[in-house]
Amino acid sequence: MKKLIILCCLILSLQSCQDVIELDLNNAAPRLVIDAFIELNEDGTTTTFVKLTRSAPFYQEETTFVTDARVRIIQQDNGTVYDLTNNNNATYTTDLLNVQEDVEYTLEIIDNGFTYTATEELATTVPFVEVVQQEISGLGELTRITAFYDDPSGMGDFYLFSYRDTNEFQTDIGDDVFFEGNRALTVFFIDDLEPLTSSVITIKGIDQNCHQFYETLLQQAGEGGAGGPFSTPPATVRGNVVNTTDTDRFPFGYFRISQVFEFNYTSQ
Amino acid sequence: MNKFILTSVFIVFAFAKAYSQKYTLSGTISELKTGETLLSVNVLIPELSTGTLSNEYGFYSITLPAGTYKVRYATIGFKDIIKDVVLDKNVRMDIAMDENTEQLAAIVINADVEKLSTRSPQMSVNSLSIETIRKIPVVLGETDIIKALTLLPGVTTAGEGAAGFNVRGGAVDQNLVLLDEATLYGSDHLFGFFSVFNPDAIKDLKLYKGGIPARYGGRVSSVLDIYQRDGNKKEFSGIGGVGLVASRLLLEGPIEKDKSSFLVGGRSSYAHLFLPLFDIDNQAYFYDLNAKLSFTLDDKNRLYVSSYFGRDVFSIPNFFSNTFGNSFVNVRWNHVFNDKLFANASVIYSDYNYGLELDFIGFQFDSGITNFNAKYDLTHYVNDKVKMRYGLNTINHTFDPGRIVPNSPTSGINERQLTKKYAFETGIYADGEFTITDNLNINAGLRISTFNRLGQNSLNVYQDGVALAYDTQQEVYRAVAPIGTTSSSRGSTLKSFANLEPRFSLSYSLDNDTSIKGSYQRINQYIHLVSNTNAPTPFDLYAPSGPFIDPQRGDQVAVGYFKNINAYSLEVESFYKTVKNRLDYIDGADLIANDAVEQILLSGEARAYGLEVLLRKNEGRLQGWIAYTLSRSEQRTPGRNASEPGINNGQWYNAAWDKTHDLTITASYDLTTKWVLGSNFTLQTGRPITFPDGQYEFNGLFIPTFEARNSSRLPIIHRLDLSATYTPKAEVDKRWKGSWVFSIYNAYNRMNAASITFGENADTNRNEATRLAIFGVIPAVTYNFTF
Repeated sequence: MKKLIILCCLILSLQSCQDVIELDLNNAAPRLVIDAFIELNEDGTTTTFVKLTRSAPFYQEETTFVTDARVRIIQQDNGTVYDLTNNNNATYTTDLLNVQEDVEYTLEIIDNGFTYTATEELATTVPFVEVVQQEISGLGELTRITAFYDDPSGMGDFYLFSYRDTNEFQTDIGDDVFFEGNRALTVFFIDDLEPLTSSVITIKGIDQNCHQFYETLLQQAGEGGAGGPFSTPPATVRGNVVNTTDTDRFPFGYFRISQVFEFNYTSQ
Repeated sequence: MNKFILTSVFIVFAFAKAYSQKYTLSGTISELKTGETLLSVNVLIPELSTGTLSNEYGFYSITLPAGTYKVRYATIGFKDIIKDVVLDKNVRMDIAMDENTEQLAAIVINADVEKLSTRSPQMSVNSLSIETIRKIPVVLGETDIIKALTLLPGVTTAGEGAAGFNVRGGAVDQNLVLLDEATLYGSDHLFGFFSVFNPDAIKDLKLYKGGIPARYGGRVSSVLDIYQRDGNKKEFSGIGGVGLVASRLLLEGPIEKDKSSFLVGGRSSYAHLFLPLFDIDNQAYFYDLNAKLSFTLDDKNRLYVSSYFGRDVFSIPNFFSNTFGNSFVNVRWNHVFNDKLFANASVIYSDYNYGLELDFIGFQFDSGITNFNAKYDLTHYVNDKVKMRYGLNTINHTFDPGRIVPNSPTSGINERQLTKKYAFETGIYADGEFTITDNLNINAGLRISTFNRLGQNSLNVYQDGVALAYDTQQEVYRAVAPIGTTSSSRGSTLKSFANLEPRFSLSYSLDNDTSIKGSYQRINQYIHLVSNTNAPTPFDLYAPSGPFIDPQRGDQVAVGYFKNINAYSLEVESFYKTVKNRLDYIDGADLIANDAVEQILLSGEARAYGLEVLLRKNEGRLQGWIAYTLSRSEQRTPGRNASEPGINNGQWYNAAWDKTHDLTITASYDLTTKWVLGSNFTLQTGRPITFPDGQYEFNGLFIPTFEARNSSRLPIIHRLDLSATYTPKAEVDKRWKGSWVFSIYNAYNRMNAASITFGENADTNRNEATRLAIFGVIPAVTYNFTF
């Protein structure tokens, strides 16, 4: 009897299935993808980083790098111009910029005759105070990593979190709607986490527009076109970078200036 | 408007005066064995080629010239009764009908009954008896009313696992679901896999897809009107079933024989009880309880008390737990003033509650919608050519978007009550069914509906009343921060709406077996389900119309051709509907615990049109139908002015449940007296989906870019389900009767795509499209019993 029940349950659970299918998809014209940020690290140094690629047909595996664009950052209060140099791949960096609070910085990219700009200010944040791990039974080998931080009082704090170890990278966003002024948290669920795995959990300060951008972006990354009952309609994710030469040829991506704190964690 | 009233009053008097010396035959029709009242029984007077139907409470009334008549009472599943009636004064004739047990499966339709149905102006109705529904094979063997209705034309769902149902291209929140006149807010358990209706408790159900009579209002697309059984007034009995996933038991009996009865039924799933065998502590189950008391106080008064309580429970320890469901209590009083005037008064309390505890974040969340409803409905059987209905319906709504409470002293969550909203909705109607000539019948009605959005705490105030702005530089819609809030008492009104809703339908008989029908309806809907997923989640809440949201207004026109040919009936209908003020959401909108939905909403419009064909065989050992629907359902949300794009660039896009072709073939065959075979075959166009046209990488994430919303389709869906019911010969002196139902869902194991996701394979890093199919072949066994 018990065997019969187990067999029935197994049959039921095996009955839903996923398989990969080939589709004949259309290809849109490529757009510039700008992954740009200035980050104020815990030790006081600034990381300035711009990565330029192009969007490609869905099934194309290789990423198209853009290596010949002109990338600069202009500090608005004193007009200083920082030129970023290409590292013979998609990335452009400089060591000269030290980001300051309450100062506007404008990113300017000239690529294929088009000029792209975005202007932002530093968004500050707070460090993590504690990281706690717990196993969740009943859903396979799922581990829950909770990172705590103290949300500053006053509404309008937005966060970008990430978890990275050798096998896994996850991103999430947060705001202070629920935790305003208290000890707040962010949670990551990791599959098959081995003990003694080193990971870095990061908290970055962002503003409301960046939060809205990531909210839409993460919905696309999570489910795509889905069509299942719980999916939301897909959207074209618009960032803060504008093509001033031709507004219809807008880029993807975002230019963000964040204060960053990292927490090094070793799993149990 | 005035002309309309004058004309109808004139018609009423004209017919009332046309004959003299008329008397009324009236009474209540019930089942001989149990005392259960019977609805929609045909009361026919062949000599005069006229007749009527018993109402939802079994009451009938017909006024005829003085004379002697052979009155025939006929309905499906019961033996015809012919009574000689001498009508020289008003006659009260209560009828008890006996079950037609020899041919339980055969439906005998005689010519007079056919004629009555083709002459009725009521069109666009899907109606199924419980016996027919029980024979339809379904997933996991659980009889499901909603799934059975989707086998008829014009009704579909957004897929396996999607809650709710869609009627003539309408959205899930546009269906008025009534159980014993109480409104239900969710019609599903376990995300659409089961419905909330215990089939053993149900007496009758009708789905109005169009031509909705004036006595119903508040939802634009359909009315699903379900009546529960009253309970056996003669003897104690029970009915139930044991299935693979859920079981049910219903007990009924007299409290005082022939005068009052009770009915108590319950249903519960128990698959979760086996999970501990695998060391899994999760819980996923549902249960329903139906209870009803019926009292026949005297021959003019009946009192009913009904209630329902249903819940879905999901929980994973240390992670989350979730409970949600409907409940209601209602009290109804039928009163017969005289032979021609029947009244029903109902007082109903109903609510939908959603509770969530997220242990890993540290809070509990409770939200819901409650309403208190009082209604009074009168049916006036003026004469054999005129039947009038009048009534008043008032609903007091309370919307609680949620209360967030920390679930432990160490939780950092701040307690918060999202602002409760209140509204008062009324409907007052007059509706008449008129027999103009032998061939022409019309229903004409008018409903006046009003909605008052009442005062509340913390209503956001925005600069110039604009809650959503368009950033022209970065080309996105952004929420506008309020400049303040105002509070007002519940006794005051923030905004009120009043609307006229004409309803009209007619039928013209070409001969005794053929008619053409047409209808027009306008309905306003004042509450909106705030949901931006393809199918609603239980978490989605209703928002009332008010200062920022206008009511939905739906108009539908339908025409149809109806013909009976011997054992077959054919219905062909075509419809066109438009809905104004259909809500749509900005990209990336976060609806969860959102206290200011006006900041993410845009108002759009929807339209749907189509052709429905139903060919039914109602007699013989082989019965069933072929249903085909060809339709389109689409939505559009243009920008509010020329500088805004709206949603999807203001272009029409297919609704998430749009299915171009929908074909169903259902059949049941009485193989022997013990075996009945059932089958259904479904073939449908796949639902809309948005395909990617590119991809890029950002911040370590793989992001697809997409084409126009819902511009592509999932693959075609087709499926065959089979069932076999074995009823062993009942032993004469034993009360216990059982039957076995063996069913196979998806007999040839077609993997129908429920969704396609686009992403990067975690292991191979290849870009791929992954198709998910939910159900493969699923066999099931159910044992049903009565005693």
